[in-house]
Parts: sequence; structure tokens; C-alpha cells
Amino acid sequence: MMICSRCGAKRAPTANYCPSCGTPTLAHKRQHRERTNADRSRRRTAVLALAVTVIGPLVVGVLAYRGMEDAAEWIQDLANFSVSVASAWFAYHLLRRHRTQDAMGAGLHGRTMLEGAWVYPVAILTGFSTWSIAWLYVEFGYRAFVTTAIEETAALPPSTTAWDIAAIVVIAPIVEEALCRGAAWEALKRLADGRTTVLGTAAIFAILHGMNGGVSLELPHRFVGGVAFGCLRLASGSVRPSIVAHAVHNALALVV
Amino acid sequence: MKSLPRLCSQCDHVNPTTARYCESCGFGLDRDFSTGDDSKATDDGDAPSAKPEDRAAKAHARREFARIKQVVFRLRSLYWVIAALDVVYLLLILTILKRTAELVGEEAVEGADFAWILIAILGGLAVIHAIGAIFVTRAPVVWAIVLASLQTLWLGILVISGDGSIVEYFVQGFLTLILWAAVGQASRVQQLLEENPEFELQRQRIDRDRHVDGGVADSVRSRRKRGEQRKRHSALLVGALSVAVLGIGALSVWWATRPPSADTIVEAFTERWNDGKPVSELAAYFVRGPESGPGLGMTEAFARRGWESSRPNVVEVGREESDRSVLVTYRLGDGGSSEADARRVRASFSVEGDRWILTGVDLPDLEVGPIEPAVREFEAAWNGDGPDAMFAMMEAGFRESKQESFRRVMQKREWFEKRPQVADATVSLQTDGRARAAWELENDELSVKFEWWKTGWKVVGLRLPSR
Repeated sequence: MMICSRCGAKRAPTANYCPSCGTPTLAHKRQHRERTNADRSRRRTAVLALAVTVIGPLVVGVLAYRGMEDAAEWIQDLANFSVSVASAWFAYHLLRRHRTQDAMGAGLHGRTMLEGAWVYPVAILTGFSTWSIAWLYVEFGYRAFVTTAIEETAALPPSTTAWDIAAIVVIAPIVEEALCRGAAWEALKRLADGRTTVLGTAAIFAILHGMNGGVSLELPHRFVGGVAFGCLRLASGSVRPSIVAHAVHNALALVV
Repeated sequence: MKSLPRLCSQCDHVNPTTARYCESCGFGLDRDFSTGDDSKATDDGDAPSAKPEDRAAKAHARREFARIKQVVFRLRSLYWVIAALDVVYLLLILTILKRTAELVGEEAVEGADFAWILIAILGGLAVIHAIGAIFVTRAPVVWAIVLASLQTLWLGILVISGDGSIVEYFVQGFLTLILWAAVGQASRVQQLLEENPEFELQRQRIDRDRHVDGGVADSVRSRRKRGEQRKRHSALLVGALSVAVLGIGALSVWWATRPPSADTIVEAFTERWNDGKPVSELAAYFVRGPESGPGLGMTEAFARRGWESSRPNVVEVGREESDRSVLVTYRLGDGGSSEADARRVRASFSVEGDRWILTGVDLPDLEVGPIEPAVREFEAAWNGDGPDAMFAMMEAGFRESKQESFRRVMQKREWFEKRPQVADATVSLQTDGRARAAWELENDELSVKFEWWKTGWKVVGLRLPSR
């Protein structure tokens, strides 16, 4: 028999708690603490990584408005992309996903719902669908409220340069998907199940786009887009199809 | 008689007869009579045949869940509070817009488009927050992330605008940190919910069926009584809060829709007059603004007196009010309260729809100089060579609009360089600084209209004899 360190009552050697005063045994406390600490640490890291993916682009917003308002547009874009990539990279390293292959998903080799040659046609179709929804929302919902200010900020420059095309169709999808369906996805996956991960990353995707000036007006169609890209990521196990879908969406927005 | 061993209700561990706490999970065995815990192991599908360590782990999970589920309820409360604040802001903005429109006319409200965008954004946020309040118990992680991200966004906007104080930045930053920490807690709640389907996100309630008479039940009964009292108090509090919210809502609606008072527009008009605001800002009180007929007439009357940007102050000396209109009489200038009515200004206002508008302004008669020198000057210009002297006497606007057609007519009649002589004008002085002079010419008459503009008589109309 063992003796309780607090009340001195006898207890069985296998007991976790003193039957007289309810004090946990030292061994049980240590075991419980280790388990709890490991879980908390994992959770804290995931939340930190998730916060980084939101706060990072926000720093760019602050910089763009407070420090670089006179800079050329391409410099602002470059700063935006750089800080977003840095945020994603930092988040990946917090999550100990050092290899890009890990960060961008397991590729198309894992056992997933969507595999092989069907992945990219489905991605292109998804991009077209999300663009259609966004177009309908903007044409019939958004413009009812927005007359001047937001259109001015959201509108593309009158003459589209090669840089605009590269930034909108190529770089933005890669950076945004690496941030939302890459870093934020990995972080959320450690906190919750697949459905929550899709919805959570879609919410972050929508809110980050709301910083463009539309705030809550941009949230609905961006959220729908985020959910569609997230489903693609979930079904394929890789971030690459969602990059393709995002690029198709942006290209259509640029052309039409 | 030998006592039976005590079975833990949480993990089914068999404890010694004398045990007051479960050796396996630490649960207070005396509390088995209580009614306050979330659920019993035997109720929740935790089969008695499960391994003791699993049952202990489940008991731990149950207690942890009872502790940390509060974060979800706090998030829900926060969502409701923010949604209510959004609605209050919306009402405030709508009220301010309405008041501003009443004062200066809808056309003149600068930034009205921006205000409507702000209303749409706030409305969107109110909807999001209300949805969040409803669904946060179903998907705690997603809605915790949404709240934390929106708070981060708000902090960013605050920093970008640079309007906040250090204290405000600190408070908002601290709140952002707390909300991101809540994401971690919410994820744990959701994980526990997924691992234990029997767990429910409900506020702790007392289960009447688990009440036992006698023994420990006395304390249970008193605890239940206290619980019912708390419940009554909560119901009273909720009722009082609902009444308060409804009262505030009704007050806001009344404030936004109440019939406006004429005082606001009269005070604003007087203030603008005395501050020397441009005449267009005074004419903005007309229902169709400064570009309307009355607005243009007022602008001209002020221009003729040289009052476009500076004018003598006015002091209100009388007011005749009815339900739908008000006539305000002002004394013009700082002194001379005994001056005649000629030095009075009268402004009339009336209700148009749900706002007050300016319907007319009577100014005192112009103080004009004698007309004869101007008539003689025009006679000399007509009898002289060339048209330049005549053009110089014309009012600027009249000259600009009529000079070319006048030149053509004069050239056609071959009167451009030299005209038939005129003499002995007939002058008739009219009210409000207007006069007319006529000369006999070619069996008809040459007629000229004069108006007093600021400091002198100017030609504003000219009719040649017909041929």
C-alpha cells in the first residue's frame, strides 16, 4: 500500500487518485501533464501558424497604405507577394513542414478521391464555376450598393500590362493558395476535421480578400470560391489543382 | 452488515467502501447524488465493459469539456454583442444621414455614396455576426477563426487609419490575441465533441429526475433551489435587457423618423449667413438646390449687393410659425435696431416631405445712387464713335451673352461706327435697383434697361427702334 502525500491515507499502488482526499498521485500528474502539454503545444503551434497566415498579409496592407502609397503599383504587388510568401514559409516552418512537397500537399500520389488525368479538367471547370458565381454576384448584387469608391479600388488598371497579367493569373494564385490551401490548411488540419478545414480556410481566404476594400461585401463570393478550391484540395490531396482553378478564375476575371 | 464497494458513476471503477473519491479518475463519489454533472457514463454509451483506463480517460475528457466549453458560449455572447453594436452603428449612421439631408438638401450631402457603402458593409457584418452567433455552437473552430480574422482585419484598419490612441491599439491588440487563443480552445472543444458524440454544447442544467430524497439530497435540494433562483434572476435579467434593447430600438426609430424641428434649419441658415459662407451654400437649402430658379435668383440678388462671400451679419428679431411653415425676420447689420423695415431680411421655410426647406428670402431694397449720370453717360456713348464705350457700360454677364448679336445688328444697320444722335431721355425708376431710359429715334424709341450692380448702374437690356 502507498501513502497519500497530502492526507496520509492509504491507497492502492495502482490508484491514480487518493480515495480519501482526491489528490492525484505524482506519477499520474506527471503522465497527465506530459500528455496535456504535448497536445497544447501542438495546438498552440497550429493556432500561431494560422494567425501568421492572416497577420502577414495584413502587415502588407498597413505598409502599402502607410509607407508605400507613392510607390509604383508593381512594387506594392511585389511587396504583397513577398510578405505573403514569407508568412506562408514561416507558418510551414512553425508546423515543421520543411519540405515544399510536404507543404504543398502529398502530390497526386496519395489515395484520394480525385486522382490522375481527371484532376486538372475538374480544376479548370471549378475555376470557371467560381468565376461564374463571382460574376453573377458582382453584376446583380454587389453593384446595387457599390457605385464609385470600391469599383475604383477594385477595378483593374485601364491598360493591362504584362506585369498585371503575370501578377493576377500566375503569381497571385500560387501565393494565395500556398497561404490559404497550403499553410492555413496544414495548421487547421491539426486543429479540426476536413470539413472544418475547408470552411476555415475559405473564411480566411474571404477575409483576406476583404482587405482589398470591399470588406464584408466581398466576403460571400470569395467564401464560395474558397470552399470550391478547398474541396478540390481535399479531394485531390494536393494544392496544385486549386492553384490551377484559381488561375482560371483570375484569368477569366481579367479577360471578361 | 458488510458495506458494498462504491462504484464510480463516471468511470465505473470499483472503489473501496470508505473511498470518497474515485481512485481511477478522481471523481467525488459523494457527488453521485448530485444532479449537476453533464452526463453519467451509463447514460452515454460508454459501455461498462470498456477498459478502466478508457473510462478514466473519458471521465477526464468529460471534466475538461465541462470546463472549456465555456469558451464557445463566450464566443457566442461576443458575436451577439458585436452584431448588436453593428445594428446600433447602422441606426446612428442612418440618423446622421437623415439629419444631414434635412439640413443641406439631399443633393448637397457630400460623401453620401460612401455612407451608403459603409451602411452596406456594416449591414453585411451585422448579418455575419448574427449567423456566427447562431452557428458557433455547431462549428466552433470556423467561427472562432472568422471572429479572430475579422478582429485582426479591424486592428489593421485601425493602424492604417492612424486614428487610434496607444491605449486603443493596446486594447484591440490584446483582444486579437485573446481571440486567436480562443481558436485553440475552440478546436479542443470541437475535438472533444468529435471524439465523444454523447457530449453536447449546452449550458449546464439541473436534471430533476436525478433528485434523491433524504441524506445528501437535502444539499442537492438547496442547490437546486439556488439554481432555480438563479434561473429566475437570469430570466428577469434577460427580460429587463430585452425591454431595454426594445426601448432603445424604439427610441432610435422615433428619433430617426420624428417630425423635424424648424430650429435646426433656421440656426444653420443664420450661422452660414453670418460666417460669410458662399451664397451657393445658402441657396442649397432650396428644395432643388442652388441651380434651381429660386437658387439662381438668390445668387443674383446677392451678387448685385456684393454679398457673395461677405455680407452684413443678421440677428433674428421675430418669427411667425405654423405647423408647416415659418417666417423668420432678421435685423441686418450689428446696430440700428430702430432702423426701418427696409433694413430687414425675411427668410421663409416650409416642410417638404419630412424635412424643412428654404422657400424664399426677401432682402432689403438696394441702396442705389442717382440714375441720371448713368443715363447721360450712355447718351454720350451712343452719340460718340464706336461701340466700345457702350459695351463698357454693360453688365458682365449681359455683355458676354449679347455682345456678338448686338455687333451684328449694329453693323447691319450701319450704326457700328456712327449712330443717329439722341437727346432728352425719359427716365423711369423702378423698385429693387432697376430703371428704364428711352430716347425718341426714327419714329420709334431706343429703350435701355439699367440695373444697380454692387457700386454702379449697368446696362442689362437694350431695344433698338424697329424698322
